[in-house]
Amino acid sequence: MEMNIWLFLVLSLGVSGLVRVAPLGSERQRILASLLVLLAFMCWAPFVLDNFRLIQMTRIATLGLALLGLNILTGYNGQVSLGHGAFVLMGAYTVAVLLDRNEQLNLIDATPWPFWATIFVAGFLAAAAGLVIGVPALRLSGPYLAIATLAVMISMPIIVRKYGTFTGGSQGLGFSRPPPPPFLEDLLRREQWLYFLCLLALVVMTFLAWNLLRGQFGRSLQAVRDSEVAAAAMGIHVARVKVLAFVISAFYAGVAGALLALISGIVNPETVDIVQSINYLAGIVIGGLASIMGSLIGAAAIVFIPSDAASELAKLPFLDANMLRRAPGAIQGAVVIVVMLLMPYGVAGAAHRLLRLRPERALARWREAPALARGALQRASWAWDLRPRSAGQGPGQNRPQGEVVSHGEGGKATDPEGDLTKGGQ
Amino acid sequence: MEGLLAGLPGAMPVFLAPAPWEDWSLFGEQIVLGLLTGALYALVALAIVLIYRSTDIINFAQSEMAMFGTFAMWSIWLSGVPLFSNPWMLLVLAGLFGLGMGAVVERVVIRPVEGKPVLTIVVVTLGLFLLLNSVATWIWAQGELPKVFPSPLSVLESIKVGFATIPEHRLLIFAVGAAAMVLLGLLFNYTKLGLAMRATAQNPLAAQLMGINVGNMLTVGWALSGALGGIAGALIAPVVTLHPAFMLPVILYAFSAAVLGGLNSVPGAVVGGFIIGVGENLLATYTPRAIFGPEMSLPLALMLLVVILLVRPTGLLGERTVRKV
Amino acid sequence: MLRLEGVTAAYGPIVALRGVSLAVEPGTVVTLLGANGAGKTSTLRVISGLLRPQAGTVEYDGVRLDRLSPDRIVRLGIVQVPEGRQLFAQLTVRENLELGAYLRRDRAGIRQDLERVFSYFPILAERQRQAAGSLSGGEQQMLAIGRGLMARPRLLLLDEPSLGLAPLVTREIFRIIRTINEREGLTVLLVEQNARLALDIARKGYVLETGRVVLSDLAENLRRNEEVRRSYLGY
Repeated sequence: MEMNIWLFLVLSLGVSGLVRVAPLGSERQRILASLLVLLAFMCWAPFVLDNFRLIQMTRIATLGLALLGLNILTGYNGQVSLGHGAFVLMGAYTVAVLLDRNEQLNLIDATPWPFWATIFVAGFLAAAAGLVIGVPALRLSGPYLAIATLAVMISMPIIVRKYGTFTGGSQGLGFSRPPPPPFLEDLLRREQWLYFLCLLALVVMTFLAWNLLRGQFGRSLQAVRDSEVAAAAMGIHVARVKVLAFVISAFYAGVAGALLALISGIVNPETVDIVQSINYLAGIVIGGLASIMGSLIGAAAIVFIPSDAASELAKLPFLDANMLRRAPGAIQGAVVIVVMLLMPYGVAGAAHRLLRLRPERALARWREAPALARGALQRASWAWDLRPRSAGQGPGQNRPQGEVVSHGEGGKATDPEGDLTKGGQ
Repeated sequence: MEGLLAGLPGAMPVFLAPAPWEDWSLFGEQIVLGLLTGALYALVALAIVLIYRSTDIINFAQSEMAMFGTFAMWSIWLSGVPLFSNPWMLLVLAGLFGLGMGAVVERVVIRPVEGKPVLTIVVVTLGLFLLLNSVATWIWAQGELPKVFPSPLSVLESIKVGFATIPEHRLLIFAVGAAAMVLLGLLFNYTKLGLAMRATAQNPLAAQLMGINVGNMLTVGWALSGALGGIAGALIAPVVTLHPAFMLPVILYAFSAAVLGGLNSVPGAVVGGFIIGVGENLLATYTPRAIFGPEMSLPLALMLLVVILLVRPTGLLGERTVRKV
Repeated sequence: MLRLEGVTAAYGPIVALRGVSLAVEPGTVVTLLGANGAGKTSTLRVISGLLRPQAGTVEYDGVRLDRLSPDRIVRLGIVQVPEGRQLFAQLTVRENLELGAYLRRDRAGIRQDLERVFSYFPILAERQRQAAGSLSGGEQQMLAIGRGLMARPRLLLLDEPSLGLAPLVTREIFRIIRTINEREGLTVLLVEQNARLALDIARKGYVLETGRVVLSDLAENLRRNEEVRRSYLGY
């Protein structure tokens, strides 16, 4: 059966969202449960989505990895890099070179590399490049770093194109995408298998990132972002943290690039260009900086907005489909602007605020409600009390001694203790 | 300018030129030409620094705003109204249009996100970049050839000035650019508005307490920046012909110039612009074609920028802001 | 006449002022005392329109201030000399003073006032063309006050003028403040941690504690008040 992707997404997010806010079990259990539910839905996806959407979801998974890496560098550590795409491209080319030009390299006597090995090599090579970039980057701050990385990113495709012996120049490199392993051959199409591959990589590496970020390293990252001086004063080795951030983010980017290559089978200078790199940055800002969920949301945004915003908006009565089709970039640009105006802290930021606000206050008031109700009832009930009242006796007499009401509104006039001690019997 | 032209079809091929010590007049000529073009980069670099100084924002949409305005001027020129057929008039109008456009962009798009994280604002300008590029393509250039944009002086004819042969239009670029910068300098240093703008850039809180409407100052800053961009667009369009991507190389060099001079520094932007202009010209003329080629002039220039940044991380004339912790 | 009634203000979730009420009669010096974080600066921010109150009213001669933008409030003649001076460090002393008169159009009057400021603070005349950031702490405070005076204010809000200054300089500055008040009848709301100096020149005082007015009285009474003496005067 085939399901519309929006329906699918609403279903999966909705159900896991419900699990998250359902009043059962502890906070931790709820979060874990909702994530498992979401994962289950994502495993279900390849069997209910059409091929085009499935490929899109696969792309989202790989981009999610890339954006996660960028978020570590820019969101958690505050180093703005417009050159993240360069690491992704590196990862992609590493895989392509190992799988395509193997003979030329003579690395391993012409036996083809197993594809999963290339993923690791891609990651580590990119990480090494991250080290090479990260050290000089220590000297640059803020916009200077952004523009320097922008310069690198713009130059990359040109250099790659020009020195084509290694890289296949403008044509790029091609190879065949890895087929499903023998035991899965009958169960899954190639696209489905690749989807699961990327999903697996995403889950594993997201878990790794989560572990890393919630520990000391994560705190150091953010401390350095917020104030290098204060962080140094606390004993954090600022330079090491910053370079590590680059290395780790580059690793993630390299793996993402490797996966991107594997799922498409071709790599050329256009695979990741400056526009993509800018999209990555826009993605993490839209999704939410310093947020793992935000990275994934951002990945979804940068895949869905260009492909669907135009066609969805065309359904609105007052917009002409023809016009929209001719200016897709306009829609994308407009959508990005509007999203930023409405949610300046990204989707994750907005969701965070929503979750903070209502449930906690509502929950608190919910817990208080019985006591509030009782208090109100008792204050009102003296109206029906026909016993003669002496001075000082007022509302609150009916209550057994010693009970304290959690006060809602100013409890001055109705303070039970006060009345009992002052009024006397 | 050769670097800018290299990307175009049918552009002048770049020969392996004789070394400077073999042909001084060529060297000198290239330097002069570089200086003339540098005025253009300085203009746009100024536009970038203007906004950055007062708001810590890098306006990534700068180039597309200028491009949009230039296309609009082209339409006006074609409209046939006698007043608007005068290329001098077009230059002035380009400036005015840019002024308005900058003000509108600040009010409508930037104001709502002022005070939000810098990256959010950056993404907004990137979105604006996309939007303007797309809309301009849709309105003016769907699959069409680049258009001719008029110049008050001839693009092709040259004047001989001493040892150098200089195309007339290039002289115009320099003259107008220099005039614009001088006017801006006068505005900043000798008028009340300029004083208020400088104050707002330095200390917005104190400026508010003086009764300065900080929001208005920001609008003026964006408006001026837009005007500079618009004029730059109208100046370069005659040379590289009008197409939706024509401002991109300019903005890249302008960014480099602004960063080179120091993003905080107004004189730095000007100096940076001239250095980039001369450097780009020399690189394009003298780099051996066998190893590098015309396409590499941009990456080379950018790599050079990165190297310089590593040596002087805040640009040549930039101030290292001392932060009190 | 400045009047605050029940002003409550917060920075996000942090409540800074809880129902603050005070009144400043024209031509007087009124001082607002309290420890760090008591809400003194927040009060001035509310008056100047930099912080919107959640509740309460701020009125000046019958005009509601709490809905106005900062520049309109300056236009009404309410000028603040903020905590920490907040000068335009890279502009010259003279430019700073000229900016104080930003909203005024009467050139002759501005020139007059410039002369007057120089007569109160001769050192500023000497250092006219120097960058404001290059002045010493005391000179900067004088410049900040002078800049405030250039607006020809009807009400001057001074936020901790003694902060970070040597005692001698501080005394000099307070003497000048008193002189200006006596000679020109300028109303002054003075926020200070240095209670002794403040109570010396003030007519009336309020004491703030965690956002509430806990004491309000004539300055001479406050000087003798036990609480005040113990907590703020040190004896």
